[in-house]
Amino acid sequence: MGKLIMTVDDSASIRQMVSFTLKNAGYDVLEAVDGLDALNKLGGFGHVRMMIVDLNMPKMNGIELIRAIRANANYKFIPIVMLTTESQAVKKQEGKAAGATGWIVKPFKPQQLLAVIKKVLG
Amino acid sequence: MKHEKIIQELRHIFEGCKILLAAKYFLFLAIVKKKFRKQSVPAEPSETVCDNTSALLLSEIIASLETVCKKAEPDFIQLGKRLEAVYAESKTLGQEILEAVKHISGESEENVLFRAGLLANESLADLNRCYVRVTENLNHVGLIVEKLDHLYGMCGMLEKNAMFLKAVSFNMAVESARSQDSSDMFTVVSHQIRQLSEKTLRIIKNIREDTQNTRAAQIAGYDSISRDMKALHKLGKEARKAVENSVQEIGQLMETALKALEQAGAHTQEISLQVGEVVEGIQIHDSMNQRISHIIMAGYDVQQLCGQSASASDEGKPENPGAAAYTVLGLQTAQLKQVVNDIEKVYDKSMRAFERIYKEIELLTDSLSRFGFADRTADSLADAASRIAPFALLGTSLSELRTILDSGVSLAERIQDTGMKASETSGRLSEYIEQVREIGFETHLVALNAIVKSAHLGDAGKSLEVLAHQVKVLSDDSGSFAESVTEILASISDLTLDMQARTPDKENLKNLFQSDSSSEALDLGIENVSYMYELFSADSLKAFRRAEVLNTEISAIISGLEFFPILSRELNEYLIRLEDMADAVNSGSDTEVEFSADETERLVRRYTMRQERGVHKQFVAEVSRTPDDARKSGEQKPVEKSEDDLGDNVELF
Repeated sequence: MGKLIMTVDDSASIRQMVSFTLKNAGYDVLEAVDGLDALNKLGGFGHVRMMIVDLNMPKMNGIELIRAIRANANYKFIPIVMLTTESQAVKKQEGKAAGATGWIVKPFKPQQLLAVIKKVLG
Repeated sequence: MKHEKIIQELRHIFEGCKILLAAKYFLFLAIVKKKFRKQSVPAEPSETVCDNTSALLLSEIIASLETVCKKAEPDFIQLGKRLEAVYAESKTLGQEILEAVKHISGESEENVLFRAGLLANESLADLNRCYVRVTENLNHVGLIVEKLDHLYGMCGMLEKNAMFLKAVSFNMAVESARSQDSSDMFTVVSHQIRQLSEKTLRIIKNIREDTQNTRAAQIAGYDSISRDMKALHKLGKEARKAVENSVQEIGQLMETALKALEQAGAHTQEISLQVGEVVEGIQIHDSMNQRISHIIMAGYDVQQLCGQSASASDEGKPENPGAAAYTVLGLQTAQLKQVVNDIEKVYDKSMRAFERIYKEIELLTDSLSRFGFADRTADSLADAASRIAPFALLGTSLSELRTILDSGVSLAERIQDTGMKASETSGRLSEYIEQVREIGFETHLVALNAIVKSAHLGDAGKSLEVLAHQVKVLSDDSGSFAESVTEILASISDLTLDMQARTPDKENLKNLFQSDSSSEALDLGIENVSYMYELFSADSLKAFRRAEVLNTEISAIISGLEFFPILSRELNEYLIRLEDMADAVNSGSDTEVEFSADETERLVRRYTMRQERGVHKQFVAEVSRTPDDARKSGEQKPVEKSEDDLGDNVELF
């Protein structure tokens, strides 16, 4: 059993590539299609150790999701890395203020994503 | 005015047309308008073709772009799935190749090949030891033959002695017949001496026969073993050469295996790298979706602007809706062009990556070919196995060595048997010689008795006394001969004992000539090499077959990548339509349309992606500033590297 990581993205191809990368590196992966789906799944499928979250999603976006998660005592300190096409400094600041741990601008390279995870999870 | 009227009329005609015909109309309109504009002097303010029809046309483009995006998603997902499958299979392939090569790599006791090499060397040492022992024992047999020769010669002397004694007994009988007294005294004595001499002769005959037979047997054994030794020596030399070659082969195989392991690692790493390239490429779908959604949003803006342009009311209407629409349309064509370019780049990159993966898989299996697989399309395990020459050579040479070692042990057994026979003969001859000695002693006593008796006869017994003394001398000689024979027999016994001491018994013979580590271990080694050879062949064949399946799949994926150019062509069609529409909007104006700064600012705020902002800035700069300004504006501000150098696109807070 590897560490459980949740990927939250409304793009099926991105979820697929994140899952593929993480599973090959020995992690377990939980997928969510948007922020609301992520909130519903959190805690229901085992202990999620980290989240990789897109910014622009329907129903609940990435920033709103981070705020909601940080409000939950159980996940107050869970590492949340944004994985988004958004690269504006203003948005990054917004994400940082909301409680994001890091920011990756898409597209990611598998080794790059894994390096970030290793750094964050240790 | 005339051509303006014509335009109005045409507009009325086409207003009722279906949306699908609108594009053709639009283009036609633009051409006609431009044509007439060249022929006339503008007298009134211009009117753009940004109207409800344009809005309808845009609706169609927007709907089509949305459809294209949605339609492309299954292709990307399918590509992702196939990539996952290929990567999983290539990982399994790499693992299988490592497993196959692991059988023969590494200088450890667990390595069958390395152990086989050690065993081969130990067995050669055993074979040498065996030669030395057999040669030593063969020399002993030679010495025994010499002793038997000597013994045979001694038999002749003993025989002469006995015959002389017999002659003396006859003379004694003749001399004793000359008087009654001598007859009374010596008839019995001469008879006794004759009987003893005859008995001695019989024993000597037995000794001679036994010696001769034993000698013949020893010579035959010696010759036979010598011959076999020579043959074995020749075979041994060949076996030694074969084993030495095999040991060399083993070294090369292990070296090749080590290289193959290193290369397999490098190829697997390269495959991972190329898979990473495709993973990065597949993400173009998300990027494309987002950029097209922004283009679509901009399309709605244009629709709104065209609607405003067509409406009579000036309320909330931009100063020049046509110019604004043209600005937005121009920017969107640039954005869509960039999307198309990016898709084409991803297509090229993915194509190259899969071609590289295909090549790396070939290289992976090539590393196995070095072990003897000449052709990766081996039909059966037997076909493939027969090609692994080094393994076969090793197995054969070890088997040959084993046979030669067995022959050596058999020779040692035979020479031991020969020695045993000599020892048995020696035992029998000792008994005979004991009898000869006893007879000699008895003869000696009879001779002494005869000497005494002859003295009683006085002068009449002088001849008999001489004869009696002769008998005594002969019996003494016989004793001396017996002593010499005993010495010879003792030396034969010593030789056979020495041989036996070297090879105590047959039970331990094999262990003596074959060390514990190489006796049964050699059999086990041969068995292990064969087993390993089968395992390696089976694993290799499995890997070859997997590689074939994998490369077939990769070829299919490469063919499947055609959805990229199809997607690119589709988007390109809409790009052309957008460009035509922008041209048409522009051509509706009598003067060059200036870009609307408000619109460009509004659009740039919508962009989330670096690429979009880059395209936007470059486009604006190109059309509104000097080339130098455009160049400066188009330059992207270098992104600061993160502290940990995770990449330009990564930032950890």
